[in-house]
Amino acid sequence: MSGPSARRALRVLGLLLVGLVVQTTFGADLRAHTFAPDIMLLLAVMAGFSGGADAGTVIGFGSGLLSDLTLQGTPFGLSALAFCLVGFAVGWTRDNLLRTRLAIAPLVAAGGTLFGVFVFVAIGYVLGQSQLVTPGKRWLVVLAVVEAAWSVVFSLPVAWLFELALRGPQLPVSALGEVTSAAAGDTASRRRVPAPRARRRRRARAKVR
Amino acid sequence: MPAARRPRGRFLLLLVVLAGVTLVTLSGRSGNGGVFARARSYAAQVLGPVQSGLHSALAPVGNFISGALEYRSLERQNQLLRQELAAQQSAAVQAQSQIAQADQVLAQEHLGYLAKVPTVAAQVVDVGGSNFEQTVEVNRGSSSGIVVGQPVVDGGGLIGSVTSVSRHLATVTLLDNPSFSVGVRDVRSGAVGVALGEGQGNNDQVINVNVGQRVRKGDYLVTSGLPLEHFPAGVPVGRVSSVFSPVGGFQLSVSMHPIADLADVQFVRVLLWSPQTG
Repeated sequence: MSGPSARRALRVLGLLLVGLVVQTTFGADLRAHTFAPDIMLLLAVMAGFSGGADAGTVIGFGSGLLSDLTLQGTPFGLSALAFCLVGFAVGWTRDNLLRTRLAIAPLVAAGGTLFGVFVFVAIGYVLGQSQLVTPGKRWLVVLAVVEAAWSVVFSLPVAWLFELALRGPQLPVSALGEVTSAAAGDTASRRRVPAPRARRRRRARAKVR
Repeated sequence: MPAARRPRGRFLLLLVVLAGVTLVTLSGRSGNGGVFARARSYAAQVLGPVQSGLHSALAPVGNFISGALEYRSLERQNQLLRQELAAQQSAAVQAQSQIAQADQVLAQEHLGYLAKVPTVAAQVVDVGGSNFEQTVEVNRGSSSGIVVGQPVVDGGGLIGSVTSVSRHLATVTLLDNPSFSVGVRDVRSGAVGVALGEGQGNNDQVINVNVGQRVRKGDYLVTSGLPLEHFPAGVPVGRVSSVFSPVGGFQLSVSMHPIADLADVQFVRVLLWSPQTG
């Protein structure tokens, strides 16, 4: 791994560790309607938003693994599995359908968190963790909505931190997937030029017109 | 870098998902022991002091924000508490005689819980950060003789059991956690059942209570202490909040409100008790 890649990977790891400490200390005390924010899930969502599908997948997996270390009642790896899917989904959406603008970060955070909660519960339920749905559907919907609201609150600082963490001159594909052609260095050009697939779709639409 | 040399997103996703599935499978097979349980225990050991320090420092900020968000609810609770306090004061004299009667019943039923069981006092240093698990962390661990499975009580009664231990910390899964279950017995009628956690803020459900049993709203429930139970007999657990007899059903639908205030647990006692040693 090259120097810049290693530094970028260390910055991301540091961000995840800080997220874990915030989640288990400050986050646990923040309760709205008895529900606390899920900072680790938000990190997975924002990794996909800032770095794309590959970064979302890898960072989401790492974020989930750290989250699994603090849980007791679910199998180790369940959060990692769920969060990498969420990171990928958000990153894929960003690559193909959205432009990365900080202004839409809260919207993406809310959508990604809602999706993440249901993915976590669905995978857990399939794997025999029926206690995740014991409190009922209404409880689950309220939980997802409150967590999404918390994610909106923290989305901008987290997105900004990821922009800083993923900044760098070269793409560390071997280190963090594709963390980056977009996030690493050419953030400005990424914002100006739409993703290739989206561009092709626009051209096709223009031809039809 | 040429695009052809970049790892394809879907291949990477597949790889990571396979890694995740492998971890989940291995974790499931290793059960409560094994490398993953040890990793969690080490993580708790490493994070514990940081959590404890930061939690004490930042708790007032978190409480302030939560208080601001829950202002209306707190105001309502405050009003209700004032009403309840007034009602309690007027009933205090009457309660004294009832307490004497209850003591007599407990003595007759040999329910002097904690009388012979050694305990370790502990302070809650952190609450679980996950919304899917109701846990607290206490500042005593294996160095104080605590092992996984031991019951934990506070002034009110049972609050849960120890599910993870490191040297100086232990994680307690609370009574309302959806994976928690405890055998209970109605002090008045003697009916037995199993109380199951239903998630934070929800009343526990009590199952396996036959229709013929005379369980009433307001009855006190204590641990049954039947063979194969993980709790000693006679620990107060909760109070029956509703009883419903379904038409054509063989079992009563009973719900129970825990006696202990699970939302605000601060000091607890871990019972150094196991089904084998008593």
